[in-house]
Amino acid sequence: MLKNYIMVALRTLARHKMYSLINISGLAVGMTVFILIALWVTDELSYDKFHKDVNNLYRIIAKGAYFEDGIDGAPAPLANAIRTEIPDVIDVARVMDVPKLVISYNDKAFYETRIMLTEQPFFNIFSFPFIYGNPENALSNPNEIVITEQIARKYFGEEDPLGKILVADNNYQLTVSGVMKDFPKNSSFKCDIIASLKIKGEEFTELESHWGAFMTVTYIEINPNADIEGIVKKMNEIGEKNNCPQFKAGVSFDLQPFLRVHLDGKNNYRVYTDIGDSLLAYSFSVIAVFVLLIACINFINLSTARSLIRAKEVGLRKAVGARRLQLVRQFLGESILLSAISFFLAVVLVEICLPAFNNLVGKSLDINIFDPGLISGAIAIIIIVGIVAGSYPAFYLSSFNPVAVLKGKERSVSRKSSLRRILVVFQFSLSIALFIGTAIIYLQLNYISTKDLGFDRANIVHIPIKENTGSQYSTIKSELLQSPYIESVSSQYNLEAYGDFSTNGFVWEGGVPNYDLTFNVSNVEPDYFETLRFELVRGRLFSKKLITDTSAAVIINEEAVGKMGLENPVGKRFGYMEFDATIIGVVKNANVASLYKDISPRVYRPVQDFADASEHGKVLIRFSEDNFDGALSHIRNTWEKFNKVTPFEFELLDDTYKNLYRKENKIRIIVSIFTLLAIFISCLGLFGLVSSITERRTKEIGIRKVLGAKVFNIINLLAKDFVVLVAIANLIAWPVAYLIMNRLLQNYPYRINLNLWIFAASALAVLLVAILTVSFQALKAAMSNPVDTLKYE
Amino acid sequence: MIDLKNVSKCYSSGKVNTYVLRKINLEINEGEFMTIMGPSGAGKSTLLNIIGMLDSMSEGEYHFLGESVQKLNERKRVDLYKQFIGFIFQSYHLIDELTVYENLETPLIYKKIKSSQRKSMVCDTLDRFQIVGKKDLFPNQLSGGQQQLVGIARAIIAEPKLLLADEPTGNLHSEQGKEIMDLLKKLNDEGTTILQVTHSEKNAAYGSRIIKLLDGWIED
Ligand SMILES: Nc1ncnc2c1ncn2[C@@H]1O[C@H](COP(=O)(O)OP(=O)(O)OP(=O)(O)O)[C@@H](O)[C@H]1O
Ligand SMILES: [Mg+2]
Repeated sequence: MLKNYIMVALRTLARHKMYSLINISGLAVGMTVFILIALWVTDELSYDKFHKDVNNLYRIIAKGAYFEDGIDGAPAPLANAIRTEIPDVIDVARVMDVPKLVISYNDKAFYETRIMLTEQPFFNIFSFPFIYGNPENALSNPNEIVITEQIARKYFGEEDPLGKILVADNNYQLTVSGVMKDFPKNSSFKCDIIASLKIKGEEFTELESHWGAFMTVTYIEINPNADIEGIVKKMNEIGEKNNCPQFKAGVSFDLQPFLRVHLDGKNNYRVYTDIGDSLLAYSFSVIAVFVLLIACINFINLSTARSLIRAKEVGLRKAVGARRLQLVRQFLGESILLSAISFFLAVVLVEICLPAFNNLVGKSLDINIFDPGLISGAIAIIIIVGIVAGSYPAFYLSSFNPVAVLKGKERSVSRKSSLRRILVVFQFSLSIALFIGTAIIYLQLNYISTKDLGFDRANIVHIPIKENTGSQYSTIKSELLQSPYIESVSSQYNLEAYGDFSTNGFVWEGGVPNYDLTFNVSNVEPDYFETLRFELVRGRLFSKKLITDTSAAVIINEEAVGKMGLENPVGKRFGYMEFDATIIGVVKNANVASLYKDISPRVYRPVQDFADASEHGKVLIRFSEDNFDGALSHIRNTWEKFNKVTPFEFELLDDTYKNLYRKENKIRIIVSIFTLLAIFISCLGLFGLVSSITERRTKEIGIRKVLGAKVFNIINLLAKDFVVLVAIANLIAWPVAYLIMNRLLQNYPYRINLNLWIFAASALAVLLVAILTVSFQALKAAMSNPVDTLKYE
Repeated sequence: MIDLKNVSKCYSSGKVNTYVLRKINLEINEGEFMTIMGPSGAGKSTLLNIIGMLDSMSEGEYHFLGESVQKLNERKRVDLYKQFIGFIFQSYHLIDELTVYENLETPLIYKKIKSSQRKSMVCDTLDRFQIVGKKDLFPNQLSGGQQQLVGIARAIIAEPKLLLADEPTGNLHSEQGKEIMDLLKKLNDEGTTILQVTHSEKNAAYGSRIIKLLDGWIED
């Protein structure tokens, strides 16, 4: 029986090549999208599962008050308190990050960016196997480090790494006390060098008694059947008892299961973390299912539209004793077979696309065809797609009455199906909605990457304040200014695009006092505003000539003026703890940080000594337009003259701002590709439908032409219906796209307006493609010679 | 074997009911070779289809070998049908995607006959109809007469007790028609009950009993 079915299925496929091609290619493309996303999502969900007893691992987070979305920091002394006071906690480990360092060994020197500081229990809590050394006494000395296999090879080649000394920033000596296996791909911890928290020396000792600094990230392992809520309660009692200052503002501690860190941790990204995005994983899954569904609909529509082809077979099989259920099974088998063929094609396509896809999502996914999980997943996809696509056609086809079909009563089997129309509308609603969504993402990203930020970011290159740059800054600056290609040079403690600093607790003269008002603080060189071409609104800018400007003057932005309730800010006093200054000027609001943040009150403090600049301290150099190369070589020479330790590095300020949206740009590419594929598959289906109708109406078209119908009339006759359906699809697509995109855009303080024309243009684009698709077939039919078709009949 | 009591069939289109069969009473005994005749549109095919359980009736009772057909569910009805009935169509309907061999095999498959036995039954039949050489051809590679031959072969391969033939020679020229009729006669002699529809007096002469249908009524 099976052989009989398979023979029929294959012969039917072979006989109707075009339709088989449409079905198979549509399903294969849909499955390709689905498989790629499934691989990606599976990988995302597999993160951190390799740790032993991973369900007992938690991260401490702080919630409430100004930590609206929760942060991963906790005060350093909390760990010791937990260790002694909460018996259900087996182990506690704190982690901190450090900026990138130059690490050298003999004559080898590299920047290392992924460095993490922690303490020994880290290796008890997490399962990271060692190749050399013993995790149980790793990091027991302040200068001991653990490195990964890869780093060991990078610095020591084949030499035994244990006991070797690496030098950090030409200053600290770090002894390798352990080499661990490289972090698994699906570990949310990923770093190259693990050093001891104690390497920070004084700084860390101070932190150890500081309940107000949420500077360490704390991980704990608890007893398998411990009462989580009890532990949280005790942690908060500890915080309360030690007068953690943030508690007064309503902050409290909570535990986050470690397994959620990868997907839910996007607000607290650190250099040593590999953080995903659950919203993204969720949205992509939905899109993938939709694309596959669109392909399934093609199958449903084409099978039912072309049911006549199978009607006779159904009638005959019934006439020789087939029960309906047997026929249902036969047709379902056929759709599963088709699904299987498509699947194998899809696997080939996936293999081809995987490198590019990996590049886009920044992963190294691959297909291991012997993985039992993958095999059962494959079987599940084949069967589910086969059933989703094949069920309705199977029940529809098997319902034919043998008497009717054998009499050739076409009318009874080829009636216009309202279901088919609904499905076409559904397909195109999805395609159009995706198209609108993509268009909006494009426009939004385009908007934020070209928006006027309130200062001139073009023609500025910045270099880090490193090594001697800070302490010899004034010499370096005058050296830089020697170049005719360099217009101005100015520095700041931290480039806001990389790391912004904010605090509350300011007091000012007049206006509305608000101790809780949070200010961003930028420490800048007095001529910063000239270099970046800020616009002064009131008062004056800093002047190097006035001694008071280096210590007792501040400039604020317009936003601050409003929030402080000041009418006349210039000349008013402004202070923070022992710091006391006068407001000398107001600058126009500028988006110095990412456009994902609204402008908040900002205070600019003048500084001239950059020896203590933060890791994000930058020298901003404005070069004259079109003279980038000349300026850059001068900057490089200057750097190399003053800084013999760290390799030269630079970045264009414009790129710095563009890079803030790099992830979004990648998402934009992926979503656009999905959208184009969805439209492609939908149109493929449309093409098939119009072909089948044209086929059936060849005779009618011939007669109409003989009677004098024009080509246009024929196209109109065949294509109009479908164009109307696509037009109707807009009615569904527009509001759906509007609701979803409007909701998504709310996350962005700077966003485009959802103008009607975006929707209209998207709809028009899809409609045009649809019209081309249907017209092509219809045109072919309309151009045919009526005598041929009629004679053939 | 067959017992029809007051069987009617009507089609309703909109508000109008059109009766195509009216209160048919008919009894057919095993071993009979019966012919239904009548003008076009009289309801002959409809009656045959109802007897063949391919179509439902609107009113009346139909007993087949003592079973009340109208009371059976699909499954039982199909079981009954495939066990006892073979159907020959006017225009030799064969499954286009299957070869001659596979077309013959299909009813046996639905009867759940084992593969080895199926093979010998198909070979016997191919032999008997002298179409062994054609077994791997597809229907569109056969002439009309050959197709009808295969259609008949398929109808009788499972050795039905009742053979229903709706104008079996309608599409054939007289020479081929005669061969087919001879074959039916032979089958009847071997014990198969046959019910044929025909317009031809000559073909009717092969049968033992003739009923005439006119406008849905049986004429006596
Ligand atoms: N599905 C249907 N709906 C309405 N009327 C139908 C339908 N099928 C058949 N009829 C009508 O039933 C009547 C009997 O049809 P049937 O096919 O039984 O005639 P017949 O005696 O076999 O004619 P012929 O010799 O031409 O084959 C015809 O008048 C036909 O129009
Ligand atoms: Mg008839």
